[in-house]
Amino acid sequence: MASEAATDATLVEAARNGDVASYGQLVKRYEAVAHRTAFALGAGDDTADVVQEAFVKAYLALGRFRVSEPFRPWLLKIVINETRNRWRWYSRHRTVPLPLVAQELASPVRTPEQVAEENERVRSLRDALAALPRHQRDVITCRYLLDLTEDETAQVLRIPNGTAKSRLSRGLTALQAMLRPTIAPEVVEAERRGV
Amino acid sequence: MVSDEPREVNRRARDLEAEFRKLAQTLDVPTPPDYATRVQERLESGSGTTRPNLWRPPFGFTGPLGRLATATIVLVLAIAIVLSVPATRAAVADLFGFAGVNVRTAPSAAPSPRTTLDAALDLGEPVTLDEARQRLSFPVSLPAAPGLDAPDAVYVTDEPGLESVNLVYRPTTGFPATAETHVGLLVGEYAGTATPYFDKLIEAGEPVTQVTVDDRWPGIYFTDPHQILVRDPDGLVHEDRPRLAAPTLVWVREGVTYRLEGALDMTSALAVAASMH
Repeated sequence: MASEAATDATLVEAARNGDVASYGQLVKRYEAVAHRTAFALGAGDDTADVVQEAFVKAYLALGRFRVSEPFRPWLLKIVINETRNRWRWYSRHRTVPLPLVAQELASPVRTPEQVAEENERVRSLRDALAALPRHQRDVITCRYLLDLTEDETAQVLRIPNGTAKSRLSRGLTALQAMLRPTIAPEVVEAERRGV
Repeated sequence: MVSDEPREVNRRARDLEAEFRKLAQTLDVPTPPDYATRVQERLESGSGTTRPNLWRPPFGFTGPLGRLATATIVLVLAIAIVLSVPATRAAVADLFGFAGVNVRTAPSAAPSPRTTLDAALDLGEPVTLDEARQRLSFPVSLPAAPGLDAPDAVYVTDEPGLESVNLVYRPTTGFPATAETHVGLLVGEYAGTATPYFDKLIEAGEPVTQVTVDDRWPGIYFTDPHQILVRDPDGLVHEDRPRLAAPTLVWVREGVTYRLEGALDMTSALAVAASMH
């Protein structure tokens, strides 16, 4: 980890001095996670534009990056901000299409019924997640779909750790309620409205 | 039974976590393009700055405004909006430049303001005035102009970097309905300051009028709706669009930026601005 951080720092230093090729190496290193992040948080068809723009903005903002800190969350913060800016041009509360597909998990031990059931479950999970308020959905997306740590999640979404924790917990509670239709609708609604 | 419930709840939460982690495998991500080449080409083409910008926010609020220090944002006001053409990301980038300060005129690139005043107007979360005051780190001011009582609706946004409140007033004497939205007056207040960017707009040849509110506070009056860019302490730029198809007055007072939109001429707008307290 330490050596990787040093390498990032070295590349950042070179890029700050105008070495575009060094920055290209940084881009290569983080383009996959940046792409996935923008897409998972709803950049949709604009993902490529959003990510490219974020990389250019990050380059121009390198002067504000503290080399003692990890590069990845700093970059993802810019990627997410760029994704959000895109939303605001349309509508801040636009329903973000959740880019999940039911995957045909081909397996010799699964019957077609089991596969259908699993796909149905994936659809339910996806719909429930899409129905969450954005601030809860973002935390759950970062933690589980992007596999960011708790600290990284708070950092990239630019919220205090405690807020990330409570949004995660309320989001999960709301999801549970939505995925168990026996719970009274008003309970579901109350959970959804939680901050 | 009751004592088992929390354990059962935890177990279900863990199951759900596991399910969502598995869901990550079904994230249908399109193939990423070759960003490294694209980005390098763009940087080397020299469109705009070709070296990292070492700009840092030149503000450090202290004293009574110390609370704003950590949440300080700088509002960058950008340019005239033509009403009918939808925005594209590329055009927006061209419009404002990478760093948010290379303001150029590209009127065809701007989004249209919303046309009806309802939840879809995206003013933020509807709250009471008291709640807005509790949630925001800066004091909410109200206009005290004749004809205006308490706002008819209050909305807050307190997502990171875009801490703001919007006050909506129905049309009333002296505050005629705006053309499309039928709002009398819309007052937006943002934690942060836009002052350093006023010059950029003027340099860019924007049709703006420099004004002074209450003989003290610097401002700009536009006859067209304007996009706002918000720059926060990390240097990230947050964009906020105009809401009404109406003239706009923007001014900065003690670390807070105010935007007033309404069917008002400059003199009336300045009078309302001076009454804000």
